[in-house]
Amino acid sequence: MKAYIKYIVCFCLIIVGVLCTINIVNTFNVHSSEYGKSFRIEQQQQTELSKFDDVRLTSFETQDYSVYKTVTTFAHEEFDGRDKNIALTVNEQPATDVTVSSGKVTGVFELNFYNLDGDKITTAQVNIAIEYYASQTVVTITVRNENDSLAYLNAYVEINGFVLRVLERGTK
Amino acid sequence: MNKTTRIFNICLYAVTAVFVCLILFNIYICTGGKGMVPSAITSTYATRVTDPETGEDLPIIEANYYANANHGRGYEVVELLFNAYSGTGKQAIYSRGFQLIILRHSNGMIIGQQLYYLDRNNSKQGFVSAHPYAWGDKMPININDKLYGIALDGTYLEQHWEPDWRTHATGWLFGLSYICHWGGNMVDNAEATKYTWEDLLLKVAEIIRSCSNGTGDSVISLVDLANYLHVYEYDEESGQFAGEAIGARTLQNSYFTMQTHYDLRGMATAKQSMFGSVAGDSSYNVSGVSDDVDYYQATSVYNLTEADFEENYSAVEGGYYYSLPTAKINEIKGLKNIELNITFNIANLNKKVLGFYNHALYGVKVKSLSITADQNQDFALMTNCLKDTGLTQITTKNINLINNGAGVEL
Repeated sequence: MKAYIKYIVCFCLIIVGVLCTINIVNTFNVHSSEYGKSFRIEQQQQTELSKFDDVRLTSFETQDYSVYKTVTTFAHEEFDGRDKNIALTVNEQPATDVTVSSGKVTGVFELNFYNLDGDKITTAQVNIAIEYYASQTVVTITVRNENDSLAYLNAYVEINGFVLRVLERGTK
Repeated sequence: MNKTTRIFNICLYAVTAVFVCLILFNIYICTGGKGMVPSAITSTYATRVTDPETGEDLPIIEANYYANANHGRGYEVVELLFNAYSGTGKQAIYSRGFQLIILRHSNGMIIGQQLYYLDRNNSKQGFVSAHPYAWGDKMPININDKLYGIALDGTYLEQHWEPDWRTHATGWLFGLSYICHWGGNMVDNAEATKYTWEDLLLKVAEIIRSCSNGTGDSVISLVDLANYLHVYEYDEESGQFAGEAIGARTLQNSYFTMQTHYDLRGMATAKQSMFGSVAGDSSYNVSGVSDDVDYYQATSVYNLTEADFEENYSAVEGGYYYSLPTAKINEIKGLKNIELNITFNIANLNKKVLGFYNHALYGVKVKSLSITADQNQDFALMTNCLKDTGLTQITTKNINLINNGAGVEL
């Protein structure tokens, strides 16, 4: 009887030993690997020069009932737009007709609003001017209110916000 | 005992002794001997998934964080959405995820939170998902055209204070522990604690808040969520996901690319939510802006001119072909909801213009294209220059278009 117990114990130890050996082999056979591709920098090089995410659009002064203007003042920022490829974006969407001088950037951000049938309801054209003074930076937003464009712009801003960025691009 | 039996026993004992050593060595490396194990790293990059119905590339993870930093209207909300296949057959995309509404004390401590399971494509019942993801559920995705599954099944060990043997022996009798400066240590719990979806969403909010991208829309690459999410290989033959995550025996880095929106305001209207719902209410609106002013889509207008093109000189023809730079094409392809209008005025270039070069606007969706000149001339549209632009007509003035395989029917 004792012999049988001895053989059973040895058999169990051998079985467990085989399993442990497999684990040891798997543990020491690890190697580094990579699944998928790391992200590729496909966007052109750009440097953010200015960012304004607190532009007040809720209080428009009226020049007349068709044009609304708001002016927001920020702290002074260094800026020199000469000989630079400057882009202006609103919520990461590019503005057009961007003009740049030493201390001023202007552009137009145009939004078309469509209904469920795909028909255009109205267009909101937002004229943006950023002026870099020695003591402050002034952001002026002017909107012409035609066909309720101001109301739709307000609805758009309420959902999406209004984050203005001035970028220097490395290439055209 | 005869000689054969004796030899057999000796061999058996020798083999058993060897395996006992291996058992002890295995116990050692599993417990204290981690330093002996060679270091290896498994890196997984999960970025995008292709919708089989539309062919559109979608980010695997989208996240919103409305911080309500000014404690104004609306809630502090974190949203996390997974674009994953409906099943291993990859027949459709499910866009399902979570919305966590956070209530904070004025000192910043979280005093309450509520998690909602939502489905972007199911407008019934306030977008509440009928099939919420549970801990351990595998979401099928693609990596290098191969099927994998990602699951929230990370765990961590919480710690508790364990008094040492002297404190056990003497208890707090006569304050001996205090006098002799013995007490105990923080030790790991025996049982691991599972990470929850709330833990993951709070981590995502922290990543978005601390990212240098700041507020607005952005893409955050190389977000390592290996502690929370694990990736499993799919075996085509058995039709099952592997029982062990890839790289389970190595240091794991599971990198995800997140498309994010970070807003310092609170979420004040259901329209801000990526699911179209706040706390299960698809008509939620405390913004002060009436829902009467509503629209289906807002698209921004982007105008390009001939100045945005780069030129390619043809010595044979003694003139220039034009195309958009690759950087500009990649920029435009990365934009959503834009209407691209191109006005190409040859008179502004003061050069001999031959036409658009091969692949000049390939793959760029163009709303309108206008080509004009002061005097009548030919304008060649070279191979695939307008392929996949969606153009059906071109506005011209003093231009004779020559279609050399432009890739579009005009």
